[in-house]
Amino acid sequence: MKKTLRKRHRREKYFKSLGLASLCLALLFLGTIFGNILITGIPAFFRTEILAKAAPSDFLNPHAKYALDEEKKWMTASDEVDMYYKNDETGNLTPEQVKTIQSLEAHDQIRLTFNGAFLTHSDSREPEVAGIWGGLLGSLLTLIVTFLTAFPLGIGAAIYLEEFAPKNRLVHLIEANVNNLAAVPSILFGLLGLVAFIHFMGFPRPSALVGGLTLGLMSLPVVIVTTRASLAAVPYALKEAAMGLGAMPLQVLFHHVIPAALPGIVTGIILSLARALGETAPLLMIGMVAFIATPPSSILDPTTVLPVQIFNWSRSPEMGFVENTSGAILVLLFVLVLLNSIAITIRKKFELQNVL
Amino acid sequence: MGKRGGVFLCFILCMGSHFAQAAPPLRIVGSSAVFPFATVVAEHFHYKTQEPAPIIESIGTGAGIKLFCESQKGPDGAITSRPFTEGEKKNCAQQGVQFQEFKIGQDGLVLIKRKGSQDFSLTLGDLRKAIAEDLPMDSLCQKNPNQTWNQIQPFFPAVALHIFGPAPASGTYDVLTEKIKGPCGLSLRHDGVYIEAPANENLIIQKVLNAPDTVGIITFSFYEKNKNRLLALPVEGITPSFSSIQGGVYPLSRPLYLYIKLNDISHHANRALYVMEFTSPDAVGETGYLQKKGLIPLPEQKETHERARGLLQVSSNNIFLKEILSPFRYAQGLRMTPFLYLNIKSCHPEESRSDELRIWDKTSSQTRNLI
Repeated sequence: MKKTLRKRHRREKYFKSLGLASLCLALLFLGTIFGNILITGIPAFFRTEILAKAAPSDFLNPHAKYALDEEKKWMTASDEVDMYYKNDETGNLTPEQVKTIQSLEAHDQIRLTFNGAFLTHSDSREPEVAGIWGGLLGSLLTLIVTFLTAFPLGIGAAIYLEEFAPKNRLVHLIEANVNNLAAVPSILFGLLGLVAFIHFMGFPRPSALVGGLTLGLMSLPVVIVTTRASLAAVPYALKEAAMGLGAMPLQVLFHHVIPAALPGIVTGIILSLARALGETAPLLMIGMVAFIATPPSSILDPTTVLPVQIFNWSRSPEMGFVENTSGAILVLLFVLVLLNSIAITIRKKFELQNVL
Repeated sequence: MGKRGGVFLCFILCMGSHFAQAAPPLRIVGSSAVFPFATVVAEHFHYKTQEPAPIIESIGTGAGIKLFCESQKGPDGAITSRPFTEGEKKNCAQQGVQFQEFKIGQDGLVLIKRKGSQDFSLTLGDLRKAIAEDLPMDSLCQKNPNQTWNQIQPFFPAVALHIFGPAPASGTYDVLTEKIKGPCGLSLRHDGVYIEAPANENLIIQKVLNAPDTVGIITFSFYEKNKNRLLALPVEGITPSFSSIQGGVYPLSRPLYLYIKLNDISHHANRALYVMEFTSPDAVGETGYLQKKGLIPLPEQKETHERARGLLQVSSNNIFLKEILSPFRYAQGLRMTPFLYLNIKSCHPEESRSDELRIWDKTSSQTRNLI
């Protein structure tokens, strides 16, 4: 008796430690990746500046000559100087240039400051002046279009399928297909967007409109599935009680079912938007890989989005883009965390309301 | 004014209709090999002319040319790592697309290894024996059997063949296959010896840095940027360098091209301005900014720039030619604002008078002579 008990305890212990080990392993992977990005990315938020008067012209960034008259005291140093000052990477600097930097350092004519331009500038081929503003704005515009496509269509389709659709073969077929679509690789939605929006409808090519519509199509099945799941989770007793009191089906739906299902619906939408924000593949398919240095001012303007910009930066030869890439990933992660915490807050808020 | 060739300029206030409706940005498509240069030029073009920065798309030479020739509207320019083929020219002509070719510089493919590893010099034939799919043996084409370097030449190191290089559909790949073409066709090995890295030369560099015995094939601009970590293998006894590529001695080098659309050019002066910037001494001269990015200028750069200027004369009988001003702006430390606009009345050198370059400076609200 005692023996078997001990054996069972041992088995339980073994299983627990196995679970703990896998959790630790997962955290280790996550920590390594995140730590790596953090270490390479943090320097992107700082840049080297040189006192304009003291700087030899080949130490300044290639665009500095266009602003020589702006009477700035400090100017952004070139990529190579930046790399040397931050990481001691000599790169292609000659020994004389290295000496000059050291003498600048001795005279306090070179300094490291917060790189605000990284957030406010748009894409550039010079890593020291490149920023993420254009990509961030493009992502925002694209996301708005995505939301406007996926939200009404998704919710409408889900409510109809869950509450009103007759239970026949056709509807079953549609349901099965929607569920399958949610698992289709995103690149296929890129193909669909290419054919439907660009070739057939002739929308302007690398624009937030096409990108948003494509990502909207991609999020649609996920929105439908999660909305249906949260609608189905509303207890039937609630509906029966409302109907027993003489409410019309529409009143039951809007006064009772949807408010009860709202936390789930909202969570589903925000999570699918977060996925759309990080998506690259379908956007590459519809040609949003262009180099665009001007931030978009409307959804029809040529646009790039943050993940695509990260992709482009990772392919650039300049060493400064390595840290820029990681820095942009950090910003993207921050936005994603922000979106997810909004989702959690909203869900908590609605859940509380329902209880009261 | 001097060597600028004296252009008769008269000032006109910038309130004209030209700037009421900002021209859409230029669109340029094509090779990933020219992309790094075209984008840099785009930015300088933007700063100098205050026109919106052109949109550059890297979709490969072939796809770029196709898109360029598809319609008279479409992209304003194509960047390619080889000249148009006869077939492509015919396609273009069928759609009524007219264009002008500008050879903008030279690029080279470099065989790289990690610094500190054993280097050796190989010929194009050796390279073919390393990466071609089929080789002629006993007067027949047979699958490439070589697995180690010393199977190709006995004095090569006895290490396994591992070569990372460009992927099909890139101009780089076209050039590579063209250069090592043997009697048994163009295709490269698919048995894991030659590994394609699609349009990502940083990846190739990473792979080579991580494994001392692998060889990578990258473009000269990438090699130039990572010179301190990499070793370049000489080909046919010639080390890739600035001068050997410019002189055309280094066998794995190729010219790069910019094609610009001529349809409706009189309304697209910014096309001509872009080409002018691309071919200007500022960009491709001895200390030009493109040279720092790894582009190797051609000896005939001056003539090309003159041709670009000719294009501008065709396109701009009456445009705001701000580009001409830019050297003066730097020289005189003028404020770089969008408010410095000029109007060119005529670009004929005969009518030009070099003392009449005047500008409207909005910051001081008056005109002033530049010279």
